[in-house]
Amino acid sequence: MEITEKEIKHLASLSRLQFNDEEMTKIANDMSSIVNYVDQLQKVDTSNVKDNTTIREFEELREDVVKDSLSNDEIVGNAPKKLNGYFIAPTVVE
Amino acid sequence: MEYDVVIGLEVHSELKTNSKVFCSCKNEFGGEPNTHCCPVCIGLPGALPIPNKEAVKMTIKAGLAVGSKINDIAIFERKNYFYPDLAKAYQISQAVRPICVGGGVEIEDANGQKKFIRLNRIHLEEDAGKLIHNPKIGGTMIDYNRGGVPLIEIVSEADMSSAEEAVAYLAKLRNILQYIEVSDCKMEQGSLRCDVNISLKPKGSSVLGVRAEMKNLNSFRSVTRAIEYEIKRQSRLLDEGEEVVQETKRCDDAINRSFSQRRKEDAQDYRYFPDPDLLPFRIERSLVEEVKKTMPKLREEKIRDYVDNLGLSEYDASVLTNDLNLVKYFDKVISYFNKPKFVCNFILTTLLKKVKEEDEADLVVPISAENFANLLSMYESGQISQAICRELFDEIWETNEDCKKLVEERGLKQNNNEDEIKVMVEALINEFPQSVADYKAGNTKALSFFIGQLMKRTQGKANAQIASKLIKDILDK
Repeated sequence: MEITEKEIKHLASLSRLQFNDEEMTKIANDMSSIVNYVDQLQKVDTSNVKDNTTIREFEELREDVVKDSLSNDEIVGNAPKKLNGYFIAPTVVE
Repeated sequence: MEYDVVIGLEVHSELKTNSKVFCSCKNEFGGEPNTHCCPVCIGLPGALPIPNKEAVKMTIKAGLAVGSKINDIAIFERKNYFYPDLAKAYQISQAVRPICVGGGVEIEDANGQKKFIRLNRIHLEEDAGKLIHNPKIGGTMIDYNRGGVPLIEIVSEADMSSAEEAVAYLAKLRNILQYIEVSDCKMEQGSLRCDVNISLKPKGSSVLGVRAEMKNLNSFRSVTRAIEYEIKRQSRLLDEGEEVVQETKRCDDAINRSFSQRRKEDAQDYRYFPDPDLLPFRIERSLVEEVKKTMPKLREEKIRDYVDNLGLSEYDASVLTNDLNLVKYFDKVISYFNKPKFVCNFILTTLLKKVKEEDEADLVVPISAENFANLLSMYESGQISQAICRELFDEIWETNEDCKKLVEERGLKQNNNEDEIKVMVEALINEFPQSVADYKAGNTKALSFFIGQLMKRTQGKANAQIASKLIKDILDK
């Protein structure tokens, strides 16, 4: 199966990434060979292989107990832009 | 042309666990920004989410309450999208194997007919952070306290066909979630909100129309408005032979308007995949049975209880049980003052009016149950008049001051002394001969006039029943 440049463009926009034409071609080729490899794997007959998905038991989940959070300084400390304890991000609504 | 309206709802409800769904930070509304946060809920690399048992149990409980099937194995998946309300660039949610599948609730349609609204699923996910758009600083302020709060999404089938049905469905779900105590369902705080999907098709046609989705509606009114608007817009387009474009509109609480978020060309493609940080987990039958045992009485049972054991009418019991907060309040009040019918009457005639003035969805009574019980008890036993009772009720609604103390301090006790009232009544009759004439001519308003005058002179303290009887006795002679 071939991954087209159009699909890469779509994925790039969903992931907020930008590529130039040269990169686009290279990534499309790489992605195609990855998907082809997966296609090849899917052809392997696994009908006799036992499903060995690990399932977590309910008892292994977390009790509903509150523990200390980090301080506001620690949380926003590394943010490039902050104000009064908030993170500041570029405007998201027009 | 006439169209059939097809509506489906996705209802989001925050669970009231102590801690968040995948980390141990506090689950609490509000708080100083970014103070209930840790590496897990702000999505730092390497942080490992672990599901909260209680959140899973509450989801199962919600499912059981609406007749869903509980899956024996559930899977958390990543729903990928870029928006700053989620720091990880994905939301942990469920897709192929949610905790609950199917079920449904019954509502009444416009003709009072029972209608069953089917559910597709209920899944558990994490809530996103809160964004405040601030043009002054040229940016968006982000508070991740809400990020990671457990959220269930209840997805209906597209079984509704009007705004009324959508609201009835939402009200029913809200009532159930409240009764089973998994969510506060405070719409104005966003702990209950919904997305509406709506499409139109020619009447009788089996071909589905193109749908529009309105996200993030947080009141019954906004749901009604959104649906009515969409019906108008889409039927106008279809009438003119134009195409309805699939789109998503977001009602943004921060800017209080709705705007088209995305069109089909750039429709979100969430690229769900199983979250490698979270293994599929098992839900044993024994766990489901354990949750079943904690299921409280739902509304229908409570109505039966009130009718059979307290002697309330079917109608009164039904109004009273519409909101669990009111049920709890009522139960508490009658534990202090055991006259259920009397208490219920006052609540239905006076208290609910007050609540409606203040807020449409979230019922909070600011008077303590004991204080309210005392007020009603004084009124019922004739210690205070109806007028004084109403006045005090209005006052303590604001202050919750001890009503007994107020009655003592201000000398508001009702005058039940027939001799004293008689003197005053006679004085009034002498003073207003015209009203006497009116009364004798059969004008019943004249009686109300006398009572009104009497109340004015006694600051509402005279016993109106005694006065009314005396006036009639004198004038009918």
